[in-house]
Amino acid sequence: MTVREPHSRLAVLTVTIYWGCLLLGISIPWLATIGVDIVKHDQSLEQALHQLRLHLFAPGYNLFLIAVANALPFVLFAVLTLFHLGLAPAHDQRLAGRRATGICLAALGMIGLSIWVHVMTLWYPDAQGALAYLFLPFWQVLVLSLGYIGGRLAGGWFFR
Amino acid sequence: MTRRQIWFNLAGLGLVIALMGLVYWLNTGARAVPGLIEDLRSDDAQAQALAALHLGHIGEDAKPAVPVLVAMATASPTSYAATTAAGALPTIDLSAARQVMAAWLPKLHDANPQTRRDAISMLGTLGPAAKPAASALVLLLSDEDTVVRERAARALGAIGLPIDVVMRGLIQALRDPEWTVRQAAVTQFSFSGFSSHESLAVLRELTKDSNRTVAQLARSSVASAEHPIQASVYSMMLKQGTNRTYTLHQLAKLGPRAAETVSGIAAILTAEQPLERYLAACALEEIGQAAAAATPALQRNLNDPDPIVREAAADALQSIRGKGSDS
Repeated sequence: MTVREPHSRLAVLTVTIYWGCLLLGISIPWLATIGVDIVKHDQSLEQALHQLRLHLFAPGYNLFLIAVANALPFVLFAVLTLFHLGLAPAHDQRLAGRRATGICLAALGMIGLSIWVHVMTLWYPDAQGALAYLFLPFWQVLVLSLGYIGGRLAGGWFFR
Repeated sequence: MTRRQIWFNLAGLGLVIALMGLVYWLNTGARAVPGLIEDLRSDDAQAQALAALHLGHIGEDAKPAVPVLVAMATASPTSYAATTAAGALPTIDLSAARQVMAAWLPKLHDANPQTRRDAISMLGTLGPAAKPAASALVLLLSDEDTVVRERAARALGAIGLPIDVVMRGLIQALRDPEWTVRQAAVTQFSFSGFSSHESLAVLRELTKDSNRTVAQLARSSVASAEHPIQASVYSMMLKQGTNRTYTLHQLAKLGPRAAETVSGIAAILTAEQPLERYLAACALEEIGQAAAAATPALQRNLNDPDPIVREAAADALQSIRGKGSDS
C-alpha cells in the first residue's frame, strides 16, 4: 500500500470533485428521469433508456437542454474548485483542509438539491413544474455559497 | 496541482462542451430529420408522435418527412400519432396539409359516426390551414350524433376562419340542446375575445344555462367580449416575433377590428415561413377594405412560391376590393 503525499491527495481530490461535478451536473436530470421511470412507472431499464432517448430533443421536453441548464452552476463550481483547491498550498494543511471542507460541503449541497428538485419535479408532475428547472441554477449558486461558508466554518473547527 | 495540470483539465472541459454542442447540433434542425423519419416509420406510437411534433417545430426543413406524415395523417382509424402528424404539416408544407384536408373531407358524410368524428378531429388539428373545410363543418352541427356536433364546434374554433362562417356555426352550436355541444362552443369564446353582437347576446343568455359549467364559461366569455384584448397588444406581439402564427390567427379572428395592425401584418407577407405568410394574407382578408394599404405587398404574394399563399393573397385582394359591397 502506498501512502500519498498531501499535495498528491489534494490534487486527486480536486480532480475528482472537478470531473465528478461536471459529469453529475449533466447526468443528474437523465438519471432522475431513468430512476423515476423505473421506480414510479414500473419500467425496465431498457424502456427507461428508450424514453430518455425519445425525450432528449423532443419539443416541450428537451431533456438535453434541461441537463445543460442543470450543468451550468456545476461548471462554474468545478472551475472555481480547480483554481481554489488546485492552487491551495499543500504544505499548509490547515488552509488546504478548510478549503477542501468548504468545497466538499458545497458540492454535496449542490448535488443533493439538484437530485431532490429533479426527482420531485418528475414524481409530482405539474403544469408549472418546468419552472423548477428555470429557478434551479439560481438556487444552486445560493447553495454553493452557503455550503462553502458552512464548510469553511466547519473546516476551521476540524483543522485547528 | 501545477498550472499546466489545471489548464489540461480546463481543456478537457472545453472538449466536453464542444462535444455537447456537436450532439445538440446533430440532433436539431434539418440534421435531425432522417432520424425522425425513422422514428415515424417505427412501430412505437409514442416515438411516432414525438417525431411528428419535432418535425413540426423544425418547419420547412422537414419537407423530406412530408410523404410519411401525409400517409400517417390520412390513415384510418386515426391515432394520437396520426393527429400529431396532421398538426405538424401546416408548418412544414401547406399544400400537404391541404392534401390531408382533401382526404378527410369526403369522410365528413360517412354513414359511420365514428368515421365522421375522426374526420372532424383531423380537420380541426390542421387549424387555419383547413379554412376551406369550415362550411362543411358547419353543416355537421345539425348531425344527429352528439359527439359529431361537439367535435365540429371544437374544430371550427381551431380553424377559426373565415370568421363569418365560423361565427355562424358557433352561434348555432351555442343553441344546441345538448350541453356538451354548448360547452364546446362556448369554450371557443371564453378566452380569446372572439365575439360579435349576436354571439354576445346568446352568450348572455347562456350565463343562466342549466348546466353550471356552460354558465360559468359563458360568464367568462361575456367578460372576454366586454374587455377584449386590443389589436395593439397583438401588434406588439408581432413586433416581438413571439408565436407569430398564434398572433396572426388571433388578429384574423378580430377581423376589421384589427385594422390598426395592417402595416405590421403586411410586413409578415415576406416572412420565411409559408404558414406565417398565409395567415398574414388571411388576416388582411378578414380586415377587408381597411387593409387597402397592404395591396402592393399582397400583389407581390400573387407570385409566392407557395400555391396556398398565392390563393390566400388573391382572396385577400378580392376582399380589399370589396367583394361584400359588390353583392
